[in-house]
Amino acid sequence: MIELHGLTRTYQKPGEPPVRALDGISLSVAAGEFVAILGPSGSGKSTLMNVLGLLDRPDSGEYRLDGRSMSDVGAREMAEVRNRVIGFVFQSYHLLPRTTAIENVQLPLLYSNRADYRRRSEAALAAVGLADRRNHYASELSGGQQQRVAIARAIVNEPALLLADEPTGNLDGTVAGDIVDLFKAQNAQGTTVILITHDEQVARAARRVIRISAGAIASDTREAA
Amino acid sequence: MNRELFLRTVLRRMTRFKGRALLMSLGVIVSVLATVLVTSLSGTVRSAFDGFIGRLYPDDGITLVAGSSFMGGGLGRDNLRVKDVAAVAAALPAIAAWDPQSSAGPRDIKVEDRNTRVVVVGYSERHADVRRQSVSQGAFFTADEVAARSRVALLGSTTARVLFGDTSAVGATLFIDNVPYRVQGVLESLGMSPHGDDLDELIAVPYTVVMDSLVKVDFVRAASFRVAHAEDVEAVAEQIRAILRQRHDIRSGQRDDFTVVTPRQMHEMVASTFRTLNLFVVLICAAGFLVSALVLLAVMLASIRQRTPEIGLRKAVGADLGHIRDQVMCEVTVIAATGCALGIVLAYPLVAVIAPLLAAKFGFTGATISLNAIIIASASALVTGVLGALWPALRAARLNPVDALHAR
Repeated sequence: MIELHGLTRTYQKPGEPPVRALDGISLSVAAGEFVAILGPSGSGKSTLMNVLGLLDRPDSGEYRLDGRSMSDVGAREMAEVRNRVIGFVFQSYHLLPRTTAIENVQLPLLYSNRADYRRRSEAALAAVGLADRRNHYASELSGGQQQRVAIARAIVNEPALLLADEPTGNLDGTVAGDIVDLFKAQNAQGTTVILITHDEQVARAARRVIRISAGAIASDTREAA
Repeated sequence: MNRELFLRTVLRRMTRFKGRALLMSLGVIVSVLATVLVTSLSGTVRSAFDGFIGRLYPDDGITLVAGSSFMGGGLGRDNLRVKDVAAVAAALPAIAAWDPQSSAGPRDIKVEDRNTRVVVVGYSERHADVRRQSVSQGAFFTADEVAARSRVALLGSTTARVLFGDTSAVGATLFIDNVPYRVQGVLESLGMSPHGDDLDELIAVPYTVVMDSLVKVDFVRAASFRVAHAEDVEAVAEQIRAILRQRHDIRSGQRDDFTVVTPRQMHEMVASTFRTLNLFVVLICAAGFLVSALVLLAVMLASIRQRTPEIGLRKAVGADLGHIRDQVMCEVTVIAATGCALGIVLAYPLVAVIAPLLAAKFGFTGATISLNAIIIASASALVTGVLGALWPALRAARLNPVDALHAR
């Protein structure tokens, strides 16, 4: 599913020394895996997620997604892959204000052309257990419910790869557990899940844990099957 | 892209952020309203002027005014004599009829115990034929009455109403400067001039009476000629000038001491006045739309800044540069179009209020909104929307998704 070879990414802010956020990362993730990426803040895990999610391009190295090199894919096609193949979940939910749950879920469908967008969005919202909140505005939902809407939005196009950046970072214990369960359920249906976190508890849900430090892989451990 | 969802997204944006949408569209509403009103009303005023000029300066008429400057006055305003006019008419067979006019200015008028001041003018019996204004009641003066300096009077319709109310004026006696005149008829109504003057507020007596009794002068203020064939008017006007210059002994290089006015000159004068007016109208409306475009631009830029995380998210879930650009363009264009529609809708009740005022004050009847005005205003609003949207749209589209997602 994912193959990375020697990825580097350096940020240069004016007047500051360059930051090497990714320092030669090589990694491969098979389809259907559930991977947790752990690391302290500033370790480069968010940069890795941006590159994996085609929001950012590496300075060097190769990224192959489904066997296809992403190095020379154009911006338009990158947007299309983000829409069809990848689903994003963010720490701060990123729901649109003054927009209902169902409308938020329909957002990715705006950029694909599916005639059955209503059925799909209803199904996605039902899958996260919020069918009865479809017409609620984001501001009327609890944090856990907002994140569930965000997950429904991420899975509405049935992506092969689900990328989550600290999805439980703003949530407390039990609610966080429910969210992790939703990722497990998606993974059980065959979706590859890559979850970035600094919470060991959350990382335990994954069958593979990759630790990152200073832009490089420190350890890569798989749970015994 | 899912067109249905796209459309719903754009419309939803407007209805969920009504305050901002209203603020953005306000300039367009006002500009469209002003443009529709001004364009429609200037059309109405223009046709009122054309109608007025057509009535006062018929196609087969030439007006000769004493004095070197138009509208009377200037050099030689006491130098146009009836015999000059008669000589011109006699020399030019193309002239079918002529009518001199003199004026005695405002005079004291008394009917029974009612006193007022009204302008008294002098006409000949040919006024009805040359100037196309006959009487609506009674009879015009005859050639004999004019020659005999009879004390007979014709009343403008307003004057007749003021002096006699609903009772018939014909046959009554009125006093001009304490001299009795017999009212012989009431003139056909001419209505208002576009300057707001009532053209029916006067008393006409034989011009011979004005010249010999009321003012005691041997010159007339003006004369009108009716040309047998309207197409000869310009040529005849030139011949009139030549004959009069000769009669008045004006050497070459010296100015005329009279003014010959043809209907074409009058229509050209109106046209050139309106060209200037229209230029100002266009400039003012354009300024309105320019300001509206700047308002759209400023509000949309602020909105884009505020919506940066949203744009980042849209990109993350699959929007490319074109999607974001199109969305911003459409949002602004829909707001401009809504403002435009509101402006047009508001123009109707406003015209309904303004039209009767215009008709009462200036006699401009039939003030309506022209299709032309709507087309001009709508096109301007559309251009405004596109101009106001372009920069914010490109700016939004070019946002880097990673930076945008994490913007606060």
